[in-house]
Amino acid sequence: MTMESAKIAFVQEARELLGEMENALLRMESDGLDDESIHAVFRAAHTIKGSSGLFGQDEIVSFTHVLETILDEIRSGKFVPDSSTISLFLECGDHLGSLVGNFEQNLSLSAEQAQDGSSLVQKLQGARRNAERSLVVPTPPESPVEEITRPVDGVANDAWHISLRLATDVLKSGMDPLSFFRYMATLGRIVQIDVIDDLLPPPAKMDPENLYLGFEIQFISEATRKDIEGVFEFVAEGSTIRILPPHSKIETYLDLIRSLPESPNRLGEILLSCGALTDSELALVLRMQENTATGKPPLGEMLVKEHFVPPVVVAAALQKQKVSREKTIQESRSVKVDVAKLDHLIDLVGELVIAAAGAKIAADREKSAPVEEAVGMVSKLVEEIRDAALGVRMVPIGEVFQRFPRLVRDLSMELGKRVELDIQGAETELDKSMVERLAEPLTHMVRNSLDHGMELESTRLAAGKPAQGTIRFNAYHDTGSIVIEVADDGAGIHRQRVLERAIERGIVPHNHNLSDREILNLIFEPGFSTSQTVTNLSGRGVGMDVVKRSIESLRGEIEIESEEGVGTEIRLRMPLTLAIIDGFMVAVEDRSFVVPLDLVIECADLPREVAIREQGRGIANLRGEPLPLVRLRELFHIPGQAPARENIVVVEYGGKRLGLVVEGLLGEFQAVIKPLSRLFSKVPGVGGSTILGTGEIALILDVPALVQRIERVETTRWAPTSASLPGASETKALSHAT
Amino acid sequence: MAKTILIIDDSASFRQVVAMALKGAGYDVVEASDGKDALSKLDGRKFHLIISDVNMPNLDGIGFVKAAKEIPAYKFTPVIMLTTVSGDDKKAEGKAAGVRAWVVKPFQPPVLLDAVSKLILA
Amino acid sequence: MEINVTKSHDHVVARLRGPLEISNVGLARERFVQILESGKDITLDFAGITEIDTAGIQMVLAVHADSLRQGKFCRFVHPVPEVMEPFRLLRLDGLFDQSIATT
Repeated sequence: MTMESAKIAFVQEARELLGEMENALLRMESDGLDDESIHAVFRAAHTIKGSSGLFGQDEIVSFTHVLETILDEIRSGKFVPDSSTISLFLECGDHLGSLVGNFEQNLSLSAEQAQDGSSLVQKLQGARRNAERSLVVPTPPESPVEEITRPVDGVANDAWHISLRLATDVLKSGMDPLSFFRYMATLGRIVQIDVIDDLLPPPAKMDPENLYLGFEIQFISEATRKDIEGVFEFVAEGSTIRILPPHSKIETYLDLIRSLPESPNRLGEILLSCGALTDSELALVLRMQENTATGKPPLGEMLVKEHFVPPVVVAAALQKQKVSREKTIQESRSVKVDVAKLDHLIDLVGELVIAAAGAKIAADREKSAPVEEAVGMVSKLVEEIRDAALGVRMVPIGEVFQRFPRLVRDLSMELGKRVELDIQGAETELDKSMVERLAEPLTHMVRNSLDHGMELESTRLAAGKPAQGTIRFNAYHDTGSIVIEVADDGAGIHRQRVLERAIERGIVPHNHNLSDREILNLIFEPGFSTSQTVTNLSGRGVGMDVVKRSIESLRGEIEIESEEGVGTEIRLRMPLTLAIIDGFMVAVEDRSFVVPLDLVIECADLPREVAIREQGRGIANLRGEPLPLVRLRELFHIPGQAPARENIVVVEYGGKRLGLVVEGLLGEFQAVIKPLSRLFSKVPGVGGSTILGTGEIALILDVPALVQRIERVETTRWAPTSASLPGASETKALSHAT
Repeated sequence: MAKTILIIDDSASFRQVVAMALKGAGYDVVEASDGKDALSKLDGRKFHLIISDVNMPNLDGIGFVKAAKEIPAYKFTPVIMLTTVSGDDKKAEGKAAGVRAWVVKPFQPPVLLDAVSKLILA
Repeated sequence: MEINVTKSHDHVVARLRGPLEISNVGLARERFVQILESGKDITLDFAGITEIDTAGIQMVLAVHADSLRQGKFCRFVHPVPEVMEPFRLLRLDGLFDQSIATT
């Protein structure tokens, strides 16, 4: 292994670890601490530190060292991180990512990075000091936390516990903690404030403009956690603020425990994450457990005995733990493979498929039974190899979904909206290259939904909706495709506004006659944007038209449903892979074309008399249903005359049917898609090309584009200047000729 | 005694709406049309809070805060800066000048009132 | 901010006047350091305080703690409403010696 390839491996590994770290942190933020997440974060920092040392990346080593130290304390339970520390860790991950980027591109540390690094280190150390103080200092007998929050037999104590260790410079910027407490009093009742003065130096040594005091507050309020956090928004930076929720009803705990994700949590953590136990209580019980003379009693037993948690809640948590453990035993074993190697393999398989087709043609010519039999066997195996090779490239779509928790978190914070992300079907598999190319359109859809769809909390409440909005991702397989749904319970699409905008932009005339679906589809028109204020999130001139185009370039389809006031759902239907399709080969003269097999509904004869009758209209009558026709001969300007017998291949896409008029049906064929050469990229109706066993090139028809052409013609009745029915005029000309 | 707020923004209509909301909530309000105008109002009288836009002619919000912090009587006066979502670079400058409180424009008056009451309750 | 100091052989009475807040805690600190250097018991009289903020409260808490460290006592007396409100909010009103009537 050369140094250069080792470096590439290191950079790739570091990126993956940082990705895992970010996921684990977000999990911690939403679901509370669990061993697995903490360990994942620790492992990332530890591994990066270890390998970066090998490359003499001192900056990464020293930074990860600080991170590792504090993570180790979290692992050992010495320090319980809160949401601000988790945010801090996220920033640390970003910083590490930028350091890794430096190494990758042989850049040296910029002044800005140096500044970021040192400020993060300071914050990390600050967080640690604060945590030590708040956890270690209060000894059990005097601890106000213990006295006040300890419930009697699990009966709720409904006070929030807020622990504040504000940045030392808050007073200098004119922020007075007293004013925050006065404001809090408007949200609820302050039961108790304990001023923590351990760090207050003697007057001779103090800078009286710095804040040395800490505050522990008991607060009874109906306010949400976010409201309480919001009180301190202006002083949050550089501060350690812990907000522990009040005990709520036992039923709520049980529901929460049931809905926790399956992960091998410790009992205490399960109880913490459902809010049945506060972390200070847990710390206290763990201390008590340590100090028990007669060996360590089980934690669950202690919790019940000491009246921290009702027995029924402990039992539910233990049950959850058991189920989770059983699940994690079935861990999968895997081998890591370079993507480049895989791509090479797929290419070879593609060549193999073509070669096998060539062999089959040759064998057919031989008319020798043993050869045909042998070739048939080879073809079958090649088919299996193809499927297996493509299977290797299949990755869970979760790979692309995993970026969204962070995106949604950051954007919703930025926009001041409360949004929850619900991801389902993350394990659904599709081709890796597909996953990569879906990331951008999906990101744009999420941004769009957050920015335009999701309402502000106040608006939602006024509309009688839950304060927190939900964006739901779902993915599942459906007959050879993957369906990806991105839905929100936001404001929905305002038809009237869409129409007004479309008219204003000259996309449709005043006297339009559009169906509801057509109105919705206007948002996919180039340059369309309904947002009244252009924000920097989705208002960068990238509209849904771009999303639509990129989905279609991946041979996918996009569909939108929206109900005003209820929400919007965008559904993508994508092929599982970009590399190979099952095709149906047709011919016009000596040219071959491939139609994606899954879009073919049926084949039928087009009798000459019918052909003549239908000419000029471009529409055939198929069992009483009108069927628009597209003549490939006309479409591709193939010279010569159509033979007496023509065939129709009926294709369907997006609920619309279309008849392709061809002159020969050649049967099923596996097409290895080759990118289109520049020559064809502008030809309408062509989605790609493939090489036949004979070495000839066949064009793969872009059925969605053809269907759309027809659709556009049908729906642009109000715009008579736009394209005429494809092939119609030429067909007419042809009818004169015949 | 009502607390006094200095509001600085180059849009007269914006100042008018904000001043109306603040007065309605029980604050006294002094208006200034830009940083330079605002500095001339810092004549020793007590301001409990300064609300300033960032982008303004003559002297912008950041320049104003820097200058105000040089005047002993206003060194510790809390400042709410009004920023746009995209104004991150300005935010860094503001932080360096000692600004901690930011409210993103555009906003509805209650959002600003809420921010104000976190810092100085009427 | 003004601090008027009256000394007896073992006791210092410091009468605080005007606002005690972030803008003047720096000056106040210098005076308090001098008072603490005398090594005597201290009485802080808040009767003349017009306004006090967290910085001010933190300052007198530091004086209180340092005095106790020296083995001396430090009494807070005569809280006016402007002082009582923030002390009460922070649950520090117990620091005031209520046995001495407010003047």
